[in-house]
Amino acid sequence: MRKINLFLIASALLLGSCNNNKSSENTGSTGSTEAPVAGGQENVKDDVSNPDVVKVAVGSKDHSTLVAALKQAELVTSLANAGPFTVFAPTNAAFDKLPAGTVDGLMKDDKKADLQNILQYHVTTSALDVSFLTDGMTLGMVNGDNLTISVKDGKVMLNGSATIVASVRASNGWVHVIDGVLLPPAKK
Amino acid sequence: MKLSKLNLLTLTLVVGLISTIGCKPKGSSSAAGGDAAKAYVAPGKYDEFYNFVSGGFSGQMSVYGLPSGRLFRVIPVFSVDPEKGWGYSEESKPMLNTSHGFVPWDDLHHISLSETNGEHDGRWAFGNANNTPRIARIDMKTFRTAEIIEIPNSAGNHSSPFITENSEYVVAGTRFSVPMGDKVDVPINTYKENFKGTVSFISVDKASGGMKVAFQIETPGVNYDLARAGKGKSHGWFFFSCYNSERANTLLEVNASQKDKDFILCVNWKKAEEYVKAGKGTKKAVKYAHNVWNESTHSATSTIENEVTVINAKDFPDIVYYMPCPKSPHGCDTDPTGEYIVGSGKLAAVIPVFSFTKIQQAIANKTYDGDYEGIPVLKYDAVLHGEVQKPGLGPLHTEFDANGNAYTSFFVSSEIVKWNVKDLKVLDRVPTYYSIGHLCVPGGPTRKPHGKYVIAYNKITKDRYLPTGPELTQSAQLYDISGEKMKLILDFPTIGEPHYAEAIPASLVMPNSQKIYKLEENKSPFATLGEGKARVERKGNEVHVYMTAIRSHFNPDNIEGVRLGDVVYFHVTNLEQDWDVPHGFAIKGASNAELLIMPGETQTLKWTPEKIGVYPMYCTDFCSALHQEMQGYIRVSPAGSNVPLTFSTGTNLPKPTSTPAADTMKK
Amino acid sequence: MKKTTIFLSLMTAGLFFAACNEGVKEEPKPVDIQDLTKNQTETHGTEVKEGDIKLTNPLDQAMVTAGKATYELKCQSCHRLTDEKLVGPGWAGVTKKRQPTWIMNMITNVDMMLEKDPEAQKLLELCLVRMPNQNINQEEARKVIEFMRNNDGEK
Repeated sequence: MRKINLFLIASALLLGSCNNNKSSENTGSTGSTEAPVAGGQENVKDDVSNPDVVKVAVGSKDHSTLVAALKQAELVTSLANAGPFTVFAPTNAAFDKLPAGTVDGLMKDDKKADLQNILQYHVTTSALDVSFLTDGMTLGMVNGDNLTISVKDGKVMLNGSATIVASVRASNGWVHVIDGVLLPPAKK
Repeated sequence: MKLSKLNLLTLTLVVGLISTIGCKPKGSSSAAGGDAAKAYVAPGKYDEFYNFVSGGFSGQMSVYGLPSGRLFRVIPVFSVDPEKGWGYSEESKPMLNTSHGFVPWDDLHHISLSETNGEHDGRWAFGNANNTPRIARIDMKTFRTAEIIEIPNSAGNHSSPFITENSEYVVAGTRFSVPMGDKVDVPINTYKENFKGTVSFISVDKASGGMKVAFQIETPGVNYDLARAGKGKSHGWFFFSCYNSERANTLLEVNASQKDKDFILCVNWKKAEEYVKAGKGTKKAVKYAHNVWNESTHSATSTIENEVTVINAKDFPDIVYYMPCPKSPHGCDTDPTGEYIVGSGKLAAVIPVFSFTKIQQAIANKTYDGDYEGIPVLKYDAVLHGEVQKPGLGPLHTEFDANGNAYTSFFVSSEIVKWNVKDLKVLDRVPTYYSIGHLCVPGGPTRKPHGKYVIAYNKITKDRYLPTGPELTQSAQLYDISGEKMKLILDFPTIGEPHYAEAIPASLVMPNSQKIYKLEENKSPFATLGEGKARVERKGNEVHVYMTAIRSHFNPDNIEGVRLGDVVYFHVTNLEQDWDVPHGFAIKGASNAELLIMPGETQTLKWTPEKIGVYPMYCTDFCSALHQEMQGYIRVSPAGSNVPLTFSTGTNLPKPTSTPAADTMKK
Repeated sequence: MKKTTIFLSLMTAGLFFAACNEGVKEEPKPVDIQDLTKNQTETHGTEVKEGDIKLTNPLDQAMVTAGKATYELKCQSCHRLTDEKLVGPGWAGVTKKRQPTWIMNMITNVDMMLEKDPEAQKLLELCLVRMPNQNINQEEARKVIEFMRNNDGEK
């Protein structure tokens, strides 16, 4: 037993010889996976394949609010998955239309669940070309609520409140840029 | 004693050293380093569990050791395997026969290990063929496919081959509903009128394991996905998840996700069995193949069966009920007590857990929510034990430990979530790398889980291993679940695409593992039992070579008198009686494969020479120091040639007519 | 001496180990599955000792016949009944040259013989092929000896 202790001391002295490569990493001595995990597929280095829905959003100047919100809601790993996903992506301008302070409020840690709920209401797990979206169709969104599609004069509207203004094919689905933020129905 | 403890520790340290020396960049990997010793099995030591893993689109079943993740064997099941002569030797060809003829490939998704009293008994492993619906039985004594039965009135045999707690039945539910009976040439858009689903119950003989399609239940045309038998208190029931209650026949990606709830089909199979016994089923004309491997003749037979008993769910109101389950349920798993049924809606934000007791009450009180195509639908709230709230994204499958915990895989959020079955509280979550599909706890689907580990079977590995071009390996990840928190301890690549897997203690399998086939019990009609009986016979244009193989020669090894237009059958008997001494047999230009012949076994390779010449043949499995000498020649002469049929070994003269043994006995 | 070595290896391991890692916990002792193999039935025989075999005359003709069948099935590939060496030595005269216990052990315990017996080892050097275990039990081997005696002209 004493020898083991000795060993532990020795290892403690020498610990950390590898920790200089990434400051955010935790190679602590607990041996537990509680240590923050350095994410998932969003970190895969690949400049050749088509970008996934996350990279599409990250690459757009008009979606910085959405990207920040996805990070805060810890949805980046999920959306880098095989999916497939259809993401309705509100522009920065769309977020700006919300009452003042709404976004800032949602970005607080104690509101994470609400933020997740709202963002998950913008995602469905199938790759839907805009031509698949027909008048009167309902989509089951990731948060568990439904979204209603209406089509008028060739324009696709969601819940009658946001319009698809552009569509980008991503490696794992579709990003449809919308001009309003979708709010999940109030819980019964 | 003290010393050995210290040695163990040194070992642990060395392992730690090996696994950590790389200083991997990812936090997750380095966090796992110290636990890697738990997955280390020293050279010469055995693993604690066998892991039977489906090979997915490889069509095979692979066997790994746990916790080491070492691959021991790939058992050829539904796909041909030239390495083992499976589907190429004359003896094994009938195993891949179907009502569509010889089918060389399939897609094996799920494993069920045989059970007695709800516990693993180490006798058989079952696997399903997803494409051309079949179930295979693998004998765990020989690690070979012993039987394959085709499922009639089925397409896309996905919810299969799940098993009841005394191996009474394995099941087969249709993923694709199809038109059945006489009216099969119908427009696809008449799906709602003409397409039907079935769930089939295949009985398993207690002693021999022999399978039989006992009966099928015809249901509305939904897509059956997965299934689990009840156990303990719910023994006698079976639960099948299904999606596409919309009954869409195109763009299911959108059209099968329209309803908030699909179903889990609850089947009272004991009752169905009674109806069938009482002759209430309808005999329907069908065609399906039933293929059986015979251990004493070392060959398979394929029989085409013509009839199946069907009971229509609509006509028997007390055997089937639909239970609503949110959003395209996939996994449908019963806990070790048999009280709880966990449904996993792929698109659902909650995991519903149903109570068997409440299901029984709801049925007794007729607490229905209308009907679906004439079949009662149980009221969701009446049968629900509760929902796990916000567990993760894309729940797929659930396994259990012995302490009342459940482990659910989440494809979209790429994680395993541990939760308590009774209070439905989430206890822990760990990421998987990446995109987990199925998962496995040793004994997880039985009444007595062995626990210890959960294994994730991942669909995507991207940057986890050295790249190998566009196609990357799929993987398994081993987590230690002995503590409160799950810990990743090993990452290992798998063959094909792993779907479901089961793990069983080595102690239940290893003692029965067969070592040789006894020559005395070899009843192959083509066996050459003793080198003195080696010979070559002509029957018209067929030449039969009765050949023996033993370290390190074939007998005969020089053959002449074969002519173009002949078909040559090499019937090779391995005369060895020693463990782990197979011989291989190959001949130049053969358009099929090699033979791999186990000790005491006889296998046949068919060869049609296309050109005149002398063809070499040799042993392909390194058998001895003189393996390289284990070879021979066969001469092929033009059609009509008068070269006599001769054969020999160890002499340049044709073989004498009487053996030296016979001479001796005469005196 | 031993202790020092272990300690040293601990320290060395420690040096490298520490480069990236965390603490070590003592492991609960795993089930020794290795033990399981020990309880398996032997396909080989156990060693035959001097005096275990009794030879009688006249020869038991039923045993000669049974021994011949075993010979043809499992031995003939390598052994002639003359003194000609094929893969292994020819059998002519074997019962005059070797004790019955030696022959029995060679048939049923070939691994033991090749490990311990100088005569067996000499034959391996000569033939270059390890005689395979042909899964013949003692009773069957005894009949083979009867057949060998017949081959050597005993009555």
